Parts: sequence; structure tokens; C-alpha cells
Amino acid sequence: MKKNNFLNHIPKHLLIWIILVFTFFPVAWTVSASLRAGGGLVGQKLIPEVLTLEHYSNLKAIGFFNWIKNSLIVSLTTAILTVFFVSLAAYAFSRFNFWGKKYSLLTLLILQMFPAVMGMVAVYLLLFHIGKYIPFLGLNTLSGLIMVYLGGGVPYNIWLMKGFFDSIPDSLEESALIDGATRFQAYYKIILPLATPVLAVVAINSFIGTYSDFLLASIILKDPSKYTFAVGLRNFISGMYDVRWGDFAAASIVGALPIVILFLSLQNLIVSGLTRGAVKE
Amino acid sequence: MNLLMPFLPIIYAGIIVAIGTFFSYILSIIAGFVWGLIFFLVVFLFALLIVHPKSYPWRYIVPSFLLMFMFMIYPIIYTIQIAFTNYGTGHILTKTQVIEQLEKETFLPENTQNFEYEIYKAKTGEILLLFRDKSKNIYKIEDKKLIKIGEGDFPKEYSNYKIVPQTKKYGEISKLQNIKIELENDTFLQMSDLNTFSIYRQRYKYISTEDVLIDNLTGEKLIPKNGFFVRPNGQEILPGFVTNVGIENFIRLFKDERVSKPFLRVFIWNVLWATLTTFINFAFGLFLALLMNDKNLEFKGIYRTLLIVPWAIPSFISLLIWVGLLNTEVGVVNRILLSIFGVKIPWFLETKWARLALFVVNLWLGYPYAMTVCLGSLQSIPEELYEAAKVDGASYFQQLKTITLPLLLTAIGPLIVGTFAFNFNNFNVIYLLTGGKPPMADVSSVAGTTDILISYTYKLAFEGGRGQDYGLAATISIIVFLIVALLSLLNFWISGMFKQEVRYE
Repeated sequence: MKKNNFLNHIPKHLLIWIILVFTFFPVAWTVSASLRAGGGLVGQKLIPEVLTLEHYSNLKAIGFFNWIKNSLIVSLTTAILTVFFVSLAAYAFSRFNFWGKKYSLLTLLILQMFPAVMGMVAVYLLLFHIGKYIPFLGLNTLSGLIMVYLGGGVPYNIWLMKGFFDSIPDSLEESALIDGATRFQAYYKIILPLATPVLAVVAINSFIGTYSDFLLASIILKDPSKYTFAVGLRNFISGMYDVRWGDFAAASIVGALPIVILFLSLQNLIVSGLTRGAVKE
Repeated sequence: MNLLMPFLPIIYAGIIVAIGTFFSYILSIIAGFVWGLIFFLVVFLFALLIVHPKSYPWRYIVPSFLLMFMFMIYPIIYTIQIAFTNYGTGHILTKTQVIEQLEKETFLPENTQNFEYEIYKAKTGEILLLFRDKSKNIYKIEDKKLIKIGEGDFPKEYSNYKIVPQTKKYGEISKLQNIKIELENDTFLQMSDLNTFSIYRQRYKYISTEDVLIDNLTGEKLIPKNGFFVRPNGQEILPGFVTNVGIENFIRLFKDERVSKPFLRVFIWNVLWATLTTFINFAFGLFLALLMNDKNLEFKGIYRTLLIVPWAIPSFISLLIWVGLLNTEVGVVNRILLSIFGVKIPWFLETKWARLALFVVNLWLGYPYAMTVCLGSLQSIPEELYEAAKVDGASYFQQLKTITLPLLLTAIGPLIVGTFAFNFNNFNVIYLLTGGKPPMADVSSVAGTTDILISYTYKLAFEGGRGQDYGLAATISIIVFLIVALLSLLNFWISGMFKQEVRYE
């Protein structure tokens, strides 16, 4: 019976295999390029003639670790601060009734539709002017970039977290409040531990989102020593495919691997966050 | 600590006010006093909400909202402001700054007075200049006046300054070249050649009551117009300044051929792009989801994980890789096509191929999301419906048409609209894969035939070959705003219609 079933499924398996070939086509060629002696695109074969790790040892020389360092500073700070600020706000929206709540939520709902990139001209000029008074928040600073990411992520993440907080029953906090805990203690001792999954979703989304952002980083960071991975990699390879392909491939793989592993190992968590609305019906 | 507790809200409010006031101050400089004031009032309101016990919950909200106001809402407002100005290359400074700069310019009038000079140095290193006119009167300068201190030859010493000998004099001259000694009546003493200082006059003088700039050299009145001071004969004085130009940028978008032609093409392609790529991705995603939605399929979990790999790789990396693979001369894709079909495709050189490349690569990037969404939704369709349909003798395709598709589209409708909005502004794919290329053949513009509005905006603002045009870029951003807002409304409408339970409370 089982065997029969498998035979029936052979066409399906074949189709899926064809799609997998399409899916892994660029991945396979990149892995091959990173291991192949010689730097360019010319004459590359899927199985390299001569295997070498030289492209990986070149990573330091091309500035790769500096890009990654900058990217990690920006992405980690953004993720942590986003969770901190947003969880506070989401808690208030979930637990209290107060003046201005309805219109604040409505405003957030509308604002979350606007990606930050649409205000890019204004963001650029704003940082340009701020930088004249507060140098560490101006153009060409990582902290300025972090601020822009932080501000842009607020509306969407408040809604996401509020939805989760709503599903935690009030009764747990109420008993704590009766025992003499303050509201704030109830928030960080009871709600936050229970909300770990959604905190993780927001942190990971912010982390991956900022790590992958090219546009804002490219207009704010001008000095090569400040480049994040996205900006650095792009400027490194742009127009240089014929000579830098091998080093580029190695950098791509090392730079992408942590994100891919993070994403795949937490796929259920991340996917449920990103496809919010579809699955819950 | 307990003693401090009652004051904590006040300290907290104080910090917020301090940050907010500082930012208001900056805004008032950038955007004008009114915006600074508005922002200050918002901050003040926040502080009140923090202090007042009844609005206690705001203590949790204010930090997020302050960030959002500064780095999200304000840029939106600022974008709208910029759209009504000529901000851009040649018009970077404010009018006040331009006037300040122009008023520094001087000129050498006819029949000016010339002076010889000597340099004197004190032991402390301070420098003094003495001047001698044609009738051998010697002067020093004090309080913007020439004061006569003697006649005949220059003295060897004056108070505690000693004359710098001729041999060393010319070594000091480089320091003197930029010296501008202010005298009365808008005149200045400046070096006119190695041995001479002359009386210069201020070239431009701004008269604020009439809002004109007087050119003292020609005697003309210069009137501010379109961001320049303009001479009566129409000549514009550089630099220009930022000024309100009303709806001129919008008019340019629709009336000025050099702008409207590329804009219209970019717009049409943008709509076409978002529609088609969303459709292709969801069609393919649904097809895959139908393949995978089979409880008995072997390796289902592994397949699913492998198939979402493109979603897991940061898109800028995969896009840059695709650019290499699609390289026309030496790219892998063309080498394979050449060996099998004997053709070489100019991927980024011809519009139709560049567009095809975009659709294919965005399918690679986007199908995992579409598949996941469809799969989740398929699994939530109750099994009984299919069983009932089977009893009624419905075929697979009849079931698909009457049960699966309607239920699926109801559930994922808002997400499809969301994906459309995302692709409408999918800067990364366009900019990193084709960079908007190839260029438009018959119009000279920064826009290429695969540019979408957002990448066009980026190019106008940050890499225009003919300089930056922030005003026009902001105007196009507003158009994008409007379209996204429209899509959001559509989305509310769809989700409201099908769900009835969006919670605001």
C-alpha cells in the first residue's frame, strides 16, 4: 500500500525536483565560485577544476569583517531597542483604556502601510541638518541609521505585539496586582516572559529586516569604513563581476549563512509572524 | 529609591521635554518656526500625559511615539514640504544664507584710494598693518576708521610693534591675501596687488523692506525670482536659494515633456510590473501549495524547508548573485542557453529581456512567501467540504474552482494586496538587478525603461547625472504615497468585508 502511494506520487516528486533545481541553481553556482581557483566569471564550471579556500581567506582583505561588524551593530541595536520600546507601548495598548487610544491605534494602522523608504529624500535631508548640531546622529553615522530604522518599525510592531498580548489572559496580572505588585512589575515579571515568542518574532524580523536593507543604508552611509554588509558588498561587486566573482561568492555565503540558518531553524515562528492574517482564519 | 518614586514621572517628563525641545529647535531651523512650534506642542502634550496620573498608560507609549514622530511622521511631512520647493543642486542654501554670502562680495571701484603698507610684529607674534597714501600720510585702523599717525617714511617701530624687514615681508604676504578690513560705509581695505592695499566696496546690499538686492557696481536692482536673484536683463546670480515654487513640480510631472514623458512610462511600467509579478508569484505559489498539500506526500517537511530557502537569503545577496549569473558575455545562464539552444540573450541590454529577467528573478525571490501563505490557507479549509463534493461526484478541477479558490482568495486577499503594494515599491529588485537599465532611447532622463517610481525617485535625489533634484523626487514620493494609501484603503475594505473583526479597542 505504502509503495503504491509512493509510485502515485512520482510525478509530484518530479515536479518538485524540477522546481528545486531552479531554487538551488544560483546557490550551487555561488558555492562553486567561492571554492574555485581564479576570480572571474569566465569559464566557470559547476564542479570547480581546482578547489581552493583562497577566496575565504581573502575576506579580511576586502573589508568583509568590517561590513559585518557594522551590520551587526546596526541590526542588533535596532532589534533590541525595538523590542524594548515597542513592548512597552504594546502593553499599554493591550491592557488599558485611556484618552487617545482609539485614534492612536488607527493612526498606527495607517502608518504601518507606509514603508520608510518613501520618505527617503526627507530622511536624508533631516539627518543632514541634524548632523550639524548632533554629529553622532547625522549622515554617515551608524547611530543615525539606527534611529531611522527604529522610528520606521514602530507602527507595524506595536500592532503585531498588541495582538499577542491581547491573547494573554488578564487574570494572571490581576492576581499579581492583588499581591501588591505594581503595574510595571506585572508587565516585566508576568507579561514579558509569557510573550517571549512574539518578542522573538519582532526581534528577529527587525534584525533580518535591517541586515537586509540596502536603500536607507546606501543613502545615509557614505564613508567605506561605515558601510554595512549590503552597501559594502554591492559597491565591491558593482561593475567588477569579471574579476571579483570568487571573493564576492565567498563573502555572500559567509554573510548569508547566519541569516539562512536563523530563518530556517525558526521558520515556523518567523513565517507565522510574516504571514499574519492568512493562517488564523 | 522609595523617596524618589513620586518624582519619577516628573523626571521622566523632563527628559522627554529636553530631547523634544532640542529636536524642535532643529526643526525650526530646517523647516521653519511653525513646524518647530508644532513639534514642541506635541512634546509638551506628551509630557503632560506622562505627569498626569489619569493618563498613566501614556508613560509606556511616549518613547515609541517620540521616535516615530521624529523619524517617520516628520519625514513624511517634510517630503510634502520639499515637493513644493525647488530644493536641489544649485538651490541648496536658504535665501538668508545666500544673501549673507553675496553681501560678502566686494569690488574695486574706479578712482579708488590705494595705500602702500608695512607689516609690524609684536614680540607676542601679533601683527599690525600701517598704510601710507599718495601724499605720504601714514594711517592705522581703529574702529573701522583710518587714523593718521604720522607723515613721510614708515617708522621702524610703532608702540610695541617692530617693522618686518623687506627680506621677510613677502613671506607674510600669503597670510594677508584673504584679509578684509572693514571700514565705514560698506567699504573694505583689501590687498589689490603685492605692494598695495586698496579701498573696496561691498558689491551687493540687501534691502529687506523692498526685498531687493542692490548691485553697487552696476547700480541695478536684483529681484528674487524662481530661487535666484535676477538682474533686470534676466541674468541669474549664483548661488540660487531654496524657495517655494507652489505646484510647479507637479506641473512639470504632467506638462514638461522632459519630465512627463519618462514619468508616464515609469508609472505605466510600475503598475504593469507590480500586477504581473504578483500574479505570477501567487499563481506559481498556489500551484506549489496544491502539490504540497497532501498529507501522504513523502519528504514533505524537507521539501518545504528547501523550497523556502530563497526567502531566507537576504534579497540583496541573491540579487547581486543573479546579476552575475545573467551576465550577457560570460554569465552561466547564457553559456547554458548557448550550448543548448545556440542563443545568447542580452539580458540587461534590451528592455524586453531585462523585464523578463526581473519577472523570473522576482519569482525566485517571491514564490516561497506565496507558497507558504497558500499552503497555510489551504490547510485551514475543512476536509468535509471536499468529502461532500466527492459524494456529489465533483472532479478535482470542479472542487478547485468551487471550493478551494473562492475560500483561498477570501482568506489571502489582503495579503495579495499587501504583496502588490510591496512589489509596487520593490526597490531592491529593480535597483540591484537592472538598475533601471537599459536607458530610454528617445528621452534624455535618469530614468531607464525598467525603473519604477521609487528607483526613479532615488536616482533623481541621489545620483542624478545632472545633479540632485530633491523637489521633483519628493513630488514623485507623494504620488507613491497616494497610491499606497489607496491600496491600504482597498485592503481595509477587503479585510473589513471578509473579516468584520478588525480590533481597534
